[in-house]
Amino acid sequence: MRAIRVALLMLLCLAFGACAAQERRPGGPVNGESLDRQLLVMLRSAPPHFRPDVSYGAYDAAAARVAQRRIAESLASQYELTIVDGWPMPALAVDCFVMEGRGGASLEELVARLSTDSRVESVQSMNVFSVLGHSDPLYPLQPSAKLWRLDDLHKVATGKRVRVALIDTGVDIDHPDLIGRVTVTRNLVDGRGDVAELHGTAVAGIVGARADDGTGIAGVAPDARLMALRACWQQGRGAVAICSTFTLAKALQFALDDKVEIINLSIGGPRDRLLERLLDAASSRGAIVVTAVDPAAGKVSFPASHDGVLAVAELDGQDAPAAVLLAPGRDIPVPVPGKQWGFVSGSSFAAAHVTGLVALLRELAPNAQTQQVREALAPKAAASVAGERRPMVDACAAIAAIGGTCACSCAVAGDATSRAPP
Amino acid sequence: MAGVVLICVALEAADAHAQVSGSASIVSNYRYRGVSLSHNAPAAQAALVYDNPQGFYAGAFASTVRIGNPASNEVQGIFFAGYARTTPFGATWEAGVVYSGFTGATSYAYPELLVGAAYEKISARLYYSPNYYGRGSDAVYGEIDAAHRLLDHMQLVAHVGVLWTNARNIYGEAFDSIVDGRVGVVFDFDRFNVQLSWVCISDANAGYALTRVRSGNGMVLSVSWLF
Repeated sequence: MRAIRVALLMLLCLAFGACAAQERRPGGPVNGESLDRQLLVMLRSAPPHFRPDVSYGAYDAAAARVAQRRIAESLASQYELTIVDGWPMPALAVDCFVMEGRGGASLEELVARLSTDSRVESVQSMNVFSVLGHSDPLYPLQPSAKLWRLDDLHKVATGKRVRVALIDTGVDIDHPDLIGRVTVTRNLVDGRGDVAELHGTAVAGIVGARADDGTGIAGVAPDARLMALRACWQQGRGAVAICSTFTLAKALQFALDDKVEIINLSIGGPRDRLLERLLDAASSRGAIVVTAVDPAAGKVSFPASHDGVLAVAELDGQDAPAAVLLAPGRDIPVPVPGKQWGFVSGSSFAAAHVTGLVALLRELAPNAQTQQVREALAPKAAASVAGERRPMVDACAAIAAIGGTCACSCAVAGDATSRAPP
Repeated sequence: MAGVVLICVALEAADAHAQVSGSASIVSNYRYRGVSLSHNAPAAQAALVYDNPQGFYAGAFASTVRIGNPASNEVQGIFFAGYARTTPFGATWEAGVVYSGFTGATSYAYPELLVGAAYEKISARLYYSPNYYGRGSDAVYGEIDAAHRLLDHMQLVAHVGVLWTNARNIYGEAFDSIVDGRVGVVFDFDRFNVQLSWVCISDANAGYALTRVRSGNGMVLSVSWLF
């Protein structure tokens, strides 16, 4: 018995040690200089099934994982690649390996050759995405308080128990406006633990900052359960940040594992097959995905362009297609790292507003799906009248449509649809 | 072991792009459905599993055992094949056949049919044998297994199984349903896997006719090398 106790203690030490070692591992995918040389190689993972060995078939088929790794190593050797990282993605029944070319072949050549290899389920190049916002001078106003009548909305719903994943840069979870508001954090970029960054902290504040505490701002959904998944990393000191296909995919898989109900993706970039598949998996599992429209992209950028997601632009995005929802996104007061507050603008923050609002709707109607929510959020005013500004999302009307209750004075709520932005 | 070698050869000749995985283990006590098949002593085990991209799987498992009357050192071989499929919602279902046989005690061989379902870290399976351990009686075994990851390299695992059979013990008495359970922790390190669990069974004499030993409740330690 004593020997077993000693063995158990040693294993626990090893388990913790191995974790720490893994976190110290240099994160190849976060190196901006190497992202353009990286490939994502997906290998099919066999479904779990009967195995009479000691695993009893209950937990991860660890042996199968080792076999996948062996296949990846064989591919790497054959195509002159280096394995940088790997991550299981059970939502797609694949294991995703990040590989980097070390021979003379171009990325396109490698993709073409690997895509014909029957061991490979799919392959693509690593894409880079950027968050959609920028810092602005301070301006003491929280537009949603007036335009969406947050006080009235919060009498009906506060997002209680609704799980919201914020896939973004790191969140300052010790900020006075966010203390206790983030229930799960995960750094999927590198092994640095929790990292406080501007964009993620601002988005978290808009969605779910503490309310009625005499500090800072009130989040749109102050009782939602926030999950801060760091998939993007800040460039310099501003709100500019980038993410990769791999870090975003890991975050989406993590969110799916945790059965989140809403996913906020305030990012934009090129169309990406792996992310499309994960977004489809999220939709099929009932998660509502809110994305930001990149105003610089000319047309609606990815992932906002993907079917089944809610695409949001700030009120100035009047040129956006009719399917794009408009929400407050200019001069928004937000918490920023270092126990401070600042003002931000951009469609990232418009999307964060809608994410918070969807959390309120999900509290009132837990089974509401994307299409039902989209219909509730779409302004009812005549948007097609030439020369008129398109209306923004009418929060009071959406609550009434989904919850069957009139949170605001209904007559006044209708007027909100024709308000001009500040 | 010949069966394992044959399967190796067959797999090598089959689809080279399918996945082949395996393990070699040492266990402090081989508890099969709660019953010790190793006389409460350590056993050596090996498994080889083949998965093809369409969802078909097949494999073989071998373990040293001590069974029979009088008990002698033998080898158990379990051969299995089936089909598993994952639905778009993440659940998996499977159906398959299992054949268990022993060297030196060939009359204990028996086939089983199995159906199962799994969702995330929980799986449930139901097995039916028309001639459980060759004793002329049919048997149904149902099991639920679950796992919960505590740390990146540490999982909590649990198992509960119930056997219903018309077989009789050595005194000619009919068994009631026999329940077995297991709770433990698994540490996984790259190619190694260590499991420490506590195993229990509702009737310590349930396997006496086969093993000539009581299967008391107790701890089991296993170390596996994965390949």
